[in-house]
Amino acid sequence: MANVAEQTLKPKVPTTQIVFGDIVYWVTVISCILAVVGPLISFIFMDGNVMNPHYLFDSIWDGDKPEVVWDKVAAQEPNGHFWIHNLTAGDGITQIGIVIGCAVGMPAMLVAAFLYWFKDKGRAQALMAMWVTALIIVSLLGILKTE
Amino acid sequence: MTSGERELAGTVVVGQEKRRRAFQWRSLLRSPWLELEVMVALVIIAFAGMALVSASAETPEGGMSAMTIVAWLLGFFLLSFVIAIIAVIAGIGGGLIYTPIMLAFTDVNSLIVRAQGLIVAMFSGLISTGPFMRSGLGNLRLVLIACTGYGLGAFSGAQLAFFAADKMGENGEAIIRLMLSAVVGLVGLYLILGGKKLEWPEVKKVDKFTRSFNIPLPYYEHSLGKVIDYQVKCAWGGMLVMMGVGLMSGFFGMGAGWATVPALNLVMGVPLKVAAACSGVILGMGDCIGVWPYIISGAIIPLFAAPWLAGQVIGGLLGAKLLVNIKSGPVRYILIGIMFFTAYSLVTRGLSDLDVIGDVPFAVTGAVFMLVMGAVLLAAFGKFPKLLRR
Repeated sequence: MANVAEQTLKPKVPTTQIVFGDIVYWVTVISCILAVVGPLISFIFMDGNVMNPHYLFDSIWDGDKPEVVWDKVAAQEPNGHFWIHNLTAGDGITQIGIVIGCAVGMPAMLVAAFLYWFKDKGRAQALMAMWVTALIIVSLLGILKTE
Repeated sequence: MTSGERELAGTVVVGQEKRRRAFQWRSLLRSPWLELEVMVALVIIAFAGMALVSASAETPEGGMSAMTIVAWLLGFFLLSFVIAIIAVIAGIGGGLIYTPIMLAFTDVNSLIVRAQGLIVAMFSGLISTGPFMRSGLGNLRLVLIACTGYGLGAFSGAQLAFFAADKMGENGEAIIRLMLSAVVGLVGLYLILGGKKLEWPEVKKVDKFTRSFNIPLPYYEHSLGKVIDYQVKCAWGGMLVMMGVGLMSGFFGMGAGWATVPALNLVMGVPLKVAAACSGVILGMGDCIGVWPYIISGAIIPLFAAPWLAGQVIGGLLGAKLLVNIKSGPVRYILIGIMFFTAYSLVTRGLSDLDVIGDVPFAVTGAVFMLVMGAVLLAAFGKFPKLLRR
């Protein structure tokens, strides 16, 4: 069994993990807000969307593959980073929200690596945080993929 | 005590109660309630706005009306919200409910379902990261060890999903459904049997490799009113197991909280509560890696994914704050019922798509549903044989 210490004072939580948790939490909140506001903008400026919402759901419910969905409703190849050129489109803003949330591990792990390396002198933890960051970057950029 | 003293004591108690209530009201203006209120208000404004715009919008020929799209989005959000709350009460990830149900009961392409499944699985974990890390129940050093393996596995699993989708041809969707039915059925069995978990595992010897990471982080256990100082063992074993868990999560797109907790608990000797707290964080971080192949390939459709994301964040946060003390027993039985019925539907759907069997008559499916739900009700009321009541 784990050691149940007699002390009743709450132990101090390391700053590094608090900073890491706060970055993830607040970026997720921002991501959620964008994912809520984006669809509203899609509806207000219906013609400004990259993917036409009127034909989108029928295509998805019909079981079309992602490339067929994109071809039908956007007349282009699938592109997860389409938001870069469509920052004001409703679905572009929604995608920014999704992308920010899905990339939150990168800044959080980088800051954790920095704090572990320079503040806590935890070199092993810093290297592992950098490893996870590197995996996110490789995955995000699509550098390695099966063909 | 004189009547004057009693009156004075009563006044003091009333004053304390008033201060307590006033404090509760003030807490609604602090984190996390404040951001939760902002997000809920935005959801209401967004859906009201979309409904207003839709009322006057024209529908192009052959297209879906704007009002129908709003109804779909609202349905997705509410479903995601409910899934997040059930997941919090049952102590599992939302992806375990979402992905099998979507694959069993809809025609949506499996890559799109699995991509969305990862979003559902990871966002409830991401939103819980802040509170768990701040409270000390989460342990970032432990998360890093697990993510080192889990991330690699999740990335490989996602790549494997696309490779399999390309190579398996027309039967690919059916094979995925059959494989998933086996996984869901086994998880259902695992939930019935309860698995072997230890609340406070005994760690007698810590190997040199594990010790070098300085993982233990004492935390204050409210139920005991004391500080728990635990030890962790076998870091390399944990890394390897987590790689396998990540591989499955990335491939099937359904998260793997149900596997992460026992892996940390049994392999590394992490106390159950700490393992559960770290599980969501690991899922959130690891799926940050596994989800990108799906995003790049266009399998995440923003308008389809957004309500699921918002439902998970708001439902996950609200569920964790309000429902953490609700008894999980009945919800757990319902979940087991859902899993077995979903596994049945996945098997029949997969076999039917492979032309091994014909279309299953509605009466048979209805009978199976009634059977499963009957067992769930019996178990919930404690009338089922002892296996389900363990």
